[in-house]
Amino acid sequence: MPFLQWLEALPLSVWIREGNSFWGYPTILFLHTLGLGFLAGLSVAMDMRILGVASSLPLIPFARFYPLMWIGFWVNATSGVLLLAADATTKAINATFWVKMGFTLVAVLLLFYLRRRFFKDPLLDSKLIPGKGKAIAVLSLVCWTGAIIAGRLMAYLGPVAGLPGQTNHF
Amino acid sequence: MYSFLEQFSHWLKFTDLHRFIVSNAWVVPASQSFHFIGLALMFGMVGLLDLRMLGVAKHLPIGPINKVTPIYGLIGFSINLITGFLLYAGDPVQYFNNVAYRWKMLFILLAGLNLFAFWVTGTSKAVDSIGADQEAPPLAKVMAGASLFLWIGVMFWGRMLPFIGSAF
Repeated sequence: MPFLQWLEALPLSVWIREGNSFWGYPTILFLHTLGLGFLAGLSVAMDMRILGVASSLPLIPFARFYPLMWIGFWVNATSGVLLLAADATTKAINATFWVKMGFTLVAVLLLFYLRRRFFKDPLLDSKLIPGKGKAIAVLSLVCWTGAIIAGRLMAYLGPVAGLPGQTNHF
Repeated sequence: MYSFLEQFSHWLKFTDLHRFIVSNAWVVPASQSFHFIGLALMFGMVGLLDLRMLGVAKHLPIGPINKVTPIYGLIGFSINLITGFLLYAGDPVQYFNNVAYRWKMLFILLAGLNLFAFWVTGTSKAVDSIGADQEAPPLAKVMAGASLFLWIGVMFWGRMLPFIGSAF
């Protein structure tokens, strides 16, 4: 695909992939892990509270973690686009990548849904969490688990990126 | 200690466990996947407690968080201890000689000492009674900041394993 080849040949993509700079591939990959920690980590913690862990904690204040989760999201969207651009011709045609995108999209949409429909209810903490809320929390946990596994398996399944002798196939 | 770990790493190479890992191509990808799942669980729970102590989501009382974070944090840590050991056993001498790996272990040790200090100095007990909208004491904030810094450092050194060292 010409677009993917063009993307991969951009000077920035080449530098990330072949520049052998600490600030290229290694740093971007670390930021992708850090973003995972904040976005998936805090989302998982919130899901567990919805499912009844530490049920004496009020739920509404958890809304305050959203800005940090969105920072995690944007760090990962940016670093993810850069990592994809660096290896566009292999990663973008790898089915595992699209499985990861599917899981991630659903997990992020669930965060939106929880925020819009769930946290906006001022009586949230004075009543039992509806079954729907628990179902969303379970689905969210499933999606983050799926996204993480698919993300890792991109290095093993389908067309694997990375030039011979280069370290960017991790 | 150094030579014991070196000998242990060389010994690991000749164990059935090592043979099992290198002859089954799925073990390393599976271990790595669960290592990241353990990371998300542990960092999420530890982050919840540390961030609250630092003043995020102040409407949350700290006591109930401090009760569950050690449990689920330990579950995440155990997942990573087991999967981490499997990864180590798959290529023990490489990890033993990997500078990034040594830094990672040092940061885990320091994070453990920080947690130990959190308990023995009575800080953990003190924050248990910090209710909604109350500030955590300064020492608790210092320890929360140190914890976040150290665990992010652990992630950093883990990610640097193939780049500064030669893992995977």
